[in-house]
Amino acid sequence: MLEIKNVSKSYGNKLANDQITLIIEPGDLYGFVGHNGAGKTTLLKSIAGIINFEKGDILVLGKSIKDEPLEVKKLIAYIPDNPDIYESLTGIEYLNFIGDVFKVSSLERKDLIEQYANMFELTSVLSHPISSYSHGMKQKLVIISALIHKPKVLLLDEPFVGLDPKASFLLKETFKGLCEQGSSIFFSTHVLEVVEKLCNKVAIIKQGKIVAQGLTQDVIKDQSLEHLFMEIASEV
Amino acid sequence: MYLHLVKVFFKESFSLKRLFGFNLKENKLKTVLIGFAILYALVAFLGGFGFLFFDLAKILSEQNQLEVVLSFLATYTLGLSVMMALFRSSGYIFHYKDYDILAPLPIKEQTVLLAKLTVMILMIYITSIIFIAPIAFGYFYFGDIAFFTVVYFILGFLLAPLLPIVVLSFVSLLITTLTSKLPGAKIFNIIFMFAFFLGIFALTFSVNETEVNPLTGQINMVKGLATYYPMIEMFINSVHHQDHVAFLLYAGISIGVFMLYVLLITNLVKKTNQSKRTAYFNRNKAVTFQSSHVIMTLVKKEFKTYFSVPIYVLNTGLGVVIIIAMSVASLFFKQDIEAFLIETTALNVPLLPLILIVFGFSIVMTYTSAVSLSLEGKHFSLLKSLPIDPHDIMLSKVLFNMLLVIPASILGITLISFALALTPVEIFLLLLLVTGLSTLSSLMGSFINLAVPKFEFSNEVEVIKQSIASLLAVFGGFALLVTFGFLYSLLDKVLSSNMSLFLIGIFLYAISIGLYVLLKPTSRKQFLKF
Repeated sequence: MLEIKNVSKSYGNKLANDQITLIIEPGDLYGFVGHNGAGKTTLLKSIAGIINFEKGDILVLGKSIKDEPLEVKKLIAYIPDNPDIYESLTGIEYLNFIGDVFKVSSLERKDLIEQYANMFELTSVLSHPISSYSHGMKQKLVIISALIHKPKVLLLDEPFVGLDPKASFLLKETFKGLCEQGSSIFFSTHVLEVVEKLCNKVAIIKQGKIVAQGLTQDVIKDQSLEHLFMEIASEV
Repeated sequence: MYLHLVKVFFKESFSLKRLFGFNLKENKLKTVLIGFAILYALVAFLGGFGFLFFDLAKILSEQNQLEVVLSFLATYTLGLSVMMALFRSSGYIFHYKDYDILAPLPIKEQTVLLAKLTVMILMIYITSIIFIAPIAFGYFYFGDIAFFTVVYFILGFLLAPLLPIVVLSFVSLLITTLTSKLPGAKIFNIIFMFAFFLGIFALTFSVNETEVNPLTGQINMVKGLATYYPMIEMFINSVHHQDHVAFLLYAGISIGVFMLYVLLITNLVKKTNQSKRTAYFNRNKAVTFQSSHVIMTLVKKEFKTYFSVPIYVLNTGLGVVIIIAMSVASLFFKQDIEAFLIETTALNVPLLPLILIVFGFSIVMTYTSAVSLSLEGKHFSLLKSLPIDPHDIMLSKVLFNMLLVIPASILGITLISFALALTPVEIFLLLLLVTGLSTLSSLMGSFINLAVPKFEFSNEVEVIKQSIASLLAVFGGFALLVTFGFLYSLLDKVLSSNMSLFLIGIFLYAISIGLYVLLKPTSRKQFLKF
């Protein structure tokens, strides 16, 4: 589904991603962890076509983000770490905008928006300007905007930040549902317990390099992910 | 998709809530009051500016040179396009603030770019139309209204910003790219922009010989510009002489160059948006742990914010720069000033009010206290969470504005007093009035900002230039000057000129003290509402 092949990206002299190779299969719920500044956001942004990378390639369903950016973007949804969206629009205007971009029919759009807005308790504020939303409400809106076009690959940067416990639970359930339908989810997080309990696969990044990856139970073995993470972090 | 994007970008730039800073439906009284203030400002502007151009069109029509009015129109549109392209295109085209939202979407980069450019052009139309409408009225009132005159006029106006955008967007990008690598990049940017504006002023006044109408002095400059920029000549020939070939050429060049520009820069736009902008900073700068009083710390913060936003300095610091430039110039052009003074004193216009008018306008143009609270933006909640009395926050903003304008004014008065050999009493009166007006306008600004703050914005320009608070501060300042001018004319009938000025000075300080006393309860009350 998503193939990251030897991707390297630098900012000046600093190598943010160093020859990263990862394969995310259909149905994978893939957790991506690492310390601040390790290169998680850079990789997610590279996959989403937000930033360019010097070496390697990224393929979604065999299509390269470098060669066919528009075709790849039609298959993915990216949720940034900061839901900084057009504040002058109302919630529904923003969802309609995304629906139009991804050519979601009115009927299908209505069903999905109603379903997810009810689920995340946003129905009553959809007609309000986004500027009146709290951080968590904006985060929920961005998540709904990503779900209404049924992406094959869902990329999320710290998706649980700002969400209330109920919304976090619902989001995890939604993740599971999407993966059961064959979509793949690749998300970064600092909440190691979520990865441990939710993800079938995990990758750990340190100073731009992938230092551990694979099935969650194979990576953590008989210890906790937190323990493993601290061990890796302390290695020189 | 193009139209969808234009709609979204337009709404993001021009929504009423964004423009006013509050919900119009929920604040009806505020909306009505501000509506009246805007209407008053607009009528005053259109009336004054419109009268000048109506008069100019009449003079030119009598001399059979009505087409010169079109030169003015083209020059004003060109000037506004140049300024907007220079100051906005680097951020608006080459470094989108919403790039992270747009980039992952399956939309062609060229479509996004075209939509961005369209909204920028719409911004230019909206700003230009305020200046163009009175000029156009003068032209059409005295000219013949033929079908092609109207069509070519409208199309010509719509196409006018295209070439300036093409050229100035590169200049804008170049300046941003070059200066971002330098230490003190923002200061360099500010100096460049002031030099640019003072250059325009110098050019305007170097050829300005005021006769009946102040605009007649600009005719030579406006005519001269057409020889350097042939598009103006083509526009005039199209509209005034209904020259079809000239219009085709004008439209062809504008559209052709612009389309070529869109095609060629798409990749550059992608590259600049993807690149991380890193400003120069001194890694070896020593860390200090100096403590200071809370108000001093807040004033220091104001200074930091001020010089980190070049557009803030440019818009609110121009008055200070004019005071300094004018005062220094007074030392070098002493004879010209003396000749001018002999002329004006012959007309019984006293010297001190003349000097005060110039200083007054420059002082009220320095309105940081009217926008600095709004500029806290999303950080306002952080400031509010700290154990600082709202009064101290507002006081620091008032003090900052006073620190900007008062030292420059004192320096200006010292230099002018030396150049014009003023008496100690005259110097004292000038100092009293200038410091009084600076204090009053600074306090007035803080009350305006407390009444109509605007914490939501994507670009500081929205607060500094386009907010209701900034409009009220500038026009309110002008109204203040007119009021004191009127008061002077009344007092002058019964008292000596110096005594009238002294009383006005005392009055300025009395109102300032009243406002200072009111600032504490008002700021505490307003902060609770935000």
